[in-house]
Amino acid sequence: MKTFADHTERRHSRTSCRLVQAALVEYLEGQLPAGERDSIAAHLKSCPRCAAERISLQKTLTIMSRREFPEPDERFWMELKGRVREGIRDDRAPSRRSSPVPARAWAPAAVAAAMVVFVFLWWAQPPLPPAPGPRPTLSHLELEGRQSLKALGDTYQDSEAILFPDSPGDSLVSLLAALPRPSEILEQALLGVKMAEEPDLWESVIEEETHSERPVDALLEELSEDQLRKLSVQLNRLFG
Amino acid sequence: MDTTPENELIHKFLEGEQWAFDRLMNQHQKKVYRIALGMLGDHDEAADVTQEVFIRAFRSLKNFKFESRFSTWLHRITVNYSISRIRHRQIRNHLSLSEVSHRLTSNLGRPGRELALKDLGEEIEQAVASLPPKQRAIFVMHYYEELAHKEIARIMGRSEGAIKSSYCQAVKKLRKRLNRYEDLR
Repeated sequence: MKTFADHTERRHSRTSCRLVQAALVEYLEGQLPAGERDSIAAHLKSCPRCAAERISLQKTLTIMSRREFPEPDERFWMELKGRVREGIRDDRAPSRRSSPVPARAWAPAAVAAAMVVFVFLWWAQPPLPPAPGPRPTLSHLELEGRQSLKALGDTYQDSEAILFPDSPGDSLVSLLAALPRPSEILEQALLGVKMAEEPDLWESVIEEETHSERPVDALLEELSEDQLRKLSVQLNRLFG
Repeated sequence: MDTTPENELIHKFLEGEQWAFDRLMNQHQKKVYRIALGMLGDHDEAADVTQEVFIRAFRSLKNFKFESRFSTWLHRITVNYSISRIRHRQIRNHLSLSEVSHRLTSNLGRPGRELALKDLGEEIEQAVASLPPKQRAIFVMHYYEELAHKEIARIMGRSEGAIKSSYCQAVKKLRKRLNRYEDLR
């Protein structure tokens, strides 16, 4: 990739300004190699537009330094340690499940999860044929999710399955499975809507799933406010 | 990498020495809390996340492969769990957040430095909250916690270039949101 230092144009063409502006944050943090830094400094002296951009970004960083992070006192840390110990102790007790989700929250969530799977299937009509190759497909994941639903309570409630999925396909299924609250149901159904709207995107996410630990994250990052709002309305109708 | 004092503590813990986990917790709890607080903007939630992160770490340490530093591993759990909390909250509070944002925007015309300073704190929080979760994590870890892009890349499982680029985008988004405060002294 071309850097500003490689760029030899003397005049302030759009290209040189763009290259400078792309490197300004790193420049402000003093993270550029000397050559590039000097070139940008020279450019800034003679380009009012880029100089103004530098000042503006600097001001933003200064404003952000005013964000307050109150430091908790020693008592907080002592109590925290106590709560962690308690959590670990509870965790070891045979009567308690390993999930942070309270058991009483699970039953309605499981019912709701089943509804979500139903909605998934309903949206995906007619059902897609099974995948010919080893690559997971939507129908494969749906089937896996449906088959897993019965065993989910014990298998997937442990949130480690989400954080550290054993196999790439697990992350989606376990996420679908570990729906402890209505907000998560919303999230999953959102995936369903997104999938119905843009099957190509969904397919690409599934493809990514074979290479990444957190494909669902990638999909969720792409959701717009508008899609969220639309979906909220839709889901209120469905589950409200 | 296996001979660091930190890894020795992990080995001790795996041999059943409970004090070793306490020591690890003492060394890392403040950073974990600050990352969570920076991402979530709420003390109670950050405290919950910190608690949960160490419970999970306790449970999962037996699976630690010593391929990365303990802090990288711990911060990854922190970021993932915080992102998960943000997403739940985003969806749950979606409409009310829009209302807050609208209310803040409608206050733009109010004069007075004092009012502006009061708003600024809220606006900074809103600006950070408006960043996508991963971008927010990157900004918080680099700007506030001063973690190097390379270390953040390890935590997030992305390339260093992608982290740098995401950080720059975050700063520019924040600038767009906060530019009316630029001349505030």
